[in-house]
Amino acid sequence: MNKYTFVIKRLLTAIPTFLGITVLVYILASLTPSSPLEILFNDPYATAEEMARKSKELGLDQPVIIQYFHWLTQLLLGNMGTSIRTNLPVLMMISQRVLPTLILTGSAMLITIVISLPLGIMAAYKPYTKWDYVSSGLSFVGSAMPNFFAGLVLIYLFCIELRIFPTSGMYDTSGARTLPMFLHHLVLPSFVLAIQMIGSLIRQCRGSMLEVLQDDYVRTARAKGLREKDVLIRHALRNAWIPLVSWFSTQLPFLIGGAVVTEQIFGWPGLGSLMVQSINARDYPVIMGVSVLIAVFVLIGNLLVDLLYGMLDPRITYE
Amino acid sequence: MFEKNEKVDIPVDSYFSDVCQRFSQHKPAMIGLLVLITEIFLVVFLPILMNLDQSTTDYDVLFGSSPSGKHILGTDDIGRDIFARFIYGGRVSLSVGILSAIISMLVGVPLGLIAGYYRGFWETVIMRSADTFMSFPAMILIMVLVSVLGPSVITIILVIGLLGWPRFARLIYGNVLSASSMDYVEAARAIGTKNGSILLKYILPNTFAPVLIAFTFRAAQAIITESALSFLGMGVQAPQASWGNILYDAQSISVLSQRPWLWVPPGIALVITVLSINFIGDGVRDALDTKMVI
Repeated sequence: MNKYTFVIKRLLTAIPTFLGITVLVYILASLTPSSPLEILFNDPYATAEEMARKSKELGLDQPVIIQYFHWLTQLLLGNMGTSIRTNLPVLMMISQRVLPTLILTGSAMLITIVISLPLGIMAAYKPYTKWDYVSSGLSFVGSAMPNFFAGLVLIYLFCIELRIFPTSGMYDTSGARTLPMFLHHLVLPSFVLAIQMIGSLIRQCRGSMLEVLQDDYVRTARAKGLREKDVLIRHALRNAWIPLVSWFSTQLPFLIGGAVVTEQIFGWPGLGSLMVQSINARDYPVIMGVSVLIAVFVLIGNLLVDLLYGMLDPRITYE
Repeated sequence: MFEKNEKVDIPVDSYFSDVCQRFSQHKPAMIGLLVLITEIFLVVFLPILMNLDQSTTDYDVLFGSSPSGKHILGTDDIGRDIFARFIYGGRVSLSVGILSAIISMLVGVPLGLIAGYYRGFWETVIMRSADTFMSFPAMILIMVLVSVLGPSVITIILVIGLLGWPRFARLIYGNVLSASSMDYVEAARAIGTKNGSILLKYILPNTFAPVLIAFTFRAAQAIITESALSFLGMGVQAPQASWGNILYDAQSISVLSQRPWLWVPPGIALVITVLSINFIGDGVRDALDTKMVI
């Protein structure tokens, strides 16, 4: 099976999960006073009679399953309804928020990898030494640190005491939008989002390297007289990748959950803070839209992870 | 030659005492256990001993006052004693952690048993839904559900607990699959033991170790989730205190910079609690000698 048929097959198997999540979102919306279809077609200016006529048009007297499929078709056609809070199309509101969230989560992942891999590798390379204790300690504290508390501490240190970083937003209020300014605003939120993942990846990396370092080919590589750096990176790490990549796919939902809190602390205009605002305003069209979109993101992320497996380890065939 | 009732002295170390022995030698785990027990004692008895009141305004001191003899951690913006709120908040955090982990376990373990033992239709339904739940950010589901159902400590415990089942189900499912192919299960089946008793007597005990470890990590996760929810203002609502909603007040720059005694204690307490639980989980894992990673 070549790569392309694999992608197609994998996309097909993602469909049941996607449908499952839409059912979940639909059920959630059904718990609210109005039905999901009404939420989708809400019209703040409608009178009671208009509402009654509309609910007939929408088929609210029909069985739930038919209502669900009606709702789903609308969703797939790109109709996510109109926001109750802002009266703007949900699709438009969401599309403005996608990029900031992707940048925030992406850079948090990058920071995690850059910090955790070296620490995890060193801890496994010299187990039960100072290196190991320092990085294990870091990993324990990192995973026990709720990101909102880390956020408060860092804001206190870097924004209030040292005045190095701005407290919120993507740009300052001057109106200018430059890349350095953007990066300056990105540092703290992405680091805060990374903290818990750093803790978890250090531990994962240490465990998976420890196992690999006992293997025969590592001894062979050393016997050949390779430099330790090459043994570690080209031979050991190459084989320790697989569990690390699956770690990534299990982290994806946590990454997005963490982004909700982090965006809220730092006033980062992404999907997470949109979600918080919408929940507080009971703006269900937006809540449903963001939920469905996040489901799509997670599924795409998992697909990419599956493709990565094949790139990292040629022995894995796409089946 | 031998007396009939002669006793032979063979040192018998039961599996259980062996495990306890190993656990007690795990230093971080013992410290974690000690810290956690102390915390439980403090949040249970301090409110009675010190006559703490989390919700009444003290008009005799300034609102938002600094720590004093009367109010160890000062008062908040509407004159409530912060130390009392801190201790009562601990009650909430600890009970959310423990109770919701119990609920997750009570839902997830039977589902995993059913999926792994009966296979077929229920296996597909249960394990597919577990996949679906685990691929979606739980934080978002919890936020929406709690806001729809109305935020109270009970709803939060129920929602976090009920949404935590997939990890237990998956864990048990895997264990049941491997245990089902064991000879002793085959033997039990051969002598006509009923499915129900095979599950309860032969398979369930084998899943004890991984479930215990998963339980600790689940409790830690639940504590973080509740506090994050309350921090966003969507969880436990005033006048009831929780470590998360005390930190909610620290989102203003003036509190953050001028009144660290308000937000530092609950934050540190959260870190210490979660750390202790994780250490205990680690100790249990080492003591039971399983290679499981959560």
